[in-house]
Amino acid sequence: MNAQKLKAIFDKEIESGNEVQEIRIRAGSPIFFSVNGNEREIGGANADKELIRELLGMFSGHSLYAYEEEIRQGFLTIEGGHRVGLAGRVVMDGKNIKTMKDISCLNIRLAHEKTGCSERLLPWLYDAGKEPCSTLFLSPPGAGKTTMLRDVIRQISDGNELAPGMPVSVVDERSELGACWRGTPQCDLGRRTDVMDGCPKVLGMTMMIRSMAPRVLAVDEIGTREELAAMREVMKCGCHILATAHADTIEDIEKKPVLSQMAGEGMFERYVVLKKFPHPGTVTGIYDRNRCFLGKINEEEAE
Amino acid sequence: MKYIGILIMAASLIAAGFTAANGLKDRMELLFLFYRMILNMKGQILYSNDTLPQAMKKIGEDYAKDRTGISKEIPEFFLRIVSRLEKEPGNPLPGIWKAETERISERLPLAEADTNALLALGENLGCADRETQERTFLFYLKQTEDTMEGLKEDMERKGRLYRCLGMSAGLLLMIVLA
Repeated sequence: MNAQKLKAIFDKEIESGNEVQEIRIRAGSPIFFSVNGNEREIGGANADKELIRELLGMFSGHSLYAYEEEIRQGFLTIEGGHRVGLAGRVVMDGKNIKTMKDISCLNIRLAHEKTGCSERLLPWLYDAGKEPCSTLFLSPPGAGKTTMLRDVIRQISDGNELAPGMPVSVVDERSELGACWRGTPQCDLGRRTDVMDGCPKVLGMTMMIRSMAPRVLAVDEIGTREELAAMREVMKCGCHILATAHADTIEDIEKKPVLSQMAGEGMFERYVVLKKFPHPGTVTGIYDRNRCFLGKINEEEAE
Repeated sequence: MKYIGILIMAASLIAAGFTAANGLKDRMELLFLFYRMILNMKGQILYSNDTLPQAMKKIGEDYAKDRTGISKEIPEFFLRIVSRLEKEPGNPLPGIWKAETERISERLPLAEADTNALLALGENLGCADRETQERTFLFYLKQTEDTMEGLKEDMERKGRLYRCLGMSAGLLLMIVLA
């Protein structure tokens, strides 16, 4: 198996109208495609280290050194906003990861935008004065919180039936929201959105407030004390925050000290809980500042 | 008629001496151009975190402007590599670099040592961490600096020698044949 053959298989799937979500490549094992939610094994030869080396060369523009930081974090973002997860042998420098070598497993996750997925949620995310509410999206991994946040950002930035568009800043530490490639967002985040790509959230939030004067600031996967402090500063400037965090239910907030503190300070005016089933992005609960249930999105109505 | 023939032969010998001296000068110019371009590439990579194709394209285009003759071959060498990387995505950079280095070494007045230094540089491009990448560039730059230093001495010594030999041989030929 080589990269050209793999590309031909991939192109055939796309031409057949199938939605490829993931390609998993492990040295010495068969290649698996996740197509329309089902796993499919690719027959023929197994993947080998040569294929992985070839793919890494292509993904990194023959310049792995330029992705040193991403490799340290275990992923690369490539053209089109697709995410390539990496696993191999980690080299440590004291307590920190220095780099990863002998990469033997790749997980290529294809970026999918669900434009309009937040439409039915949006009325819950504005207050009476047509100002967006600071909102925390909660879900387990793979339940669509980043996709939902991305669409909310786009709607707020472009404007919608509820309110006119306004400047939004995104601090995209892991390049997941904008899926930036060489600094340009590959996903539609709206016409009034500024993206700081690859920047640590704590630094990026302060920089964006100083330099871009946003009305709304969005970040993905919050949870550290430093981020809490930075968010306090952002809110002091009168800016609204949109953020995501890992949690199964609204009660899980209490189990996470930082999230619990944020909730205790009334930092968020809305909490949106999402589930993976029956499909990613299912809103099972919308809560107010005091975590009182406000409503949910009825899936039957949505369809 | 006889004297015209003698003059032509003498002029040819003198020209041969000057050509040999100019060969050293051309090699020096090419090495200096490589040196500057690789130095710029190092800056692009370490400061802007550009990928190799990005850096090579930018530098190739910048240096190709207002250049003609053999000095244009070097920016074109970089641009050809970029073009091949785009057209042959599965082909690794070291292989393309090697093929293109061999191609220009046949066309340009480069010594075997110059070609070998370029080949060694290409072997380590792209696949290492930033620190190793920097060391690879520094090694090439140091090597080229040393070569240019030696070449400068050669130019002073051998350049004059080649010119004098050419003129002496030309004059001698004229005396003998006249």
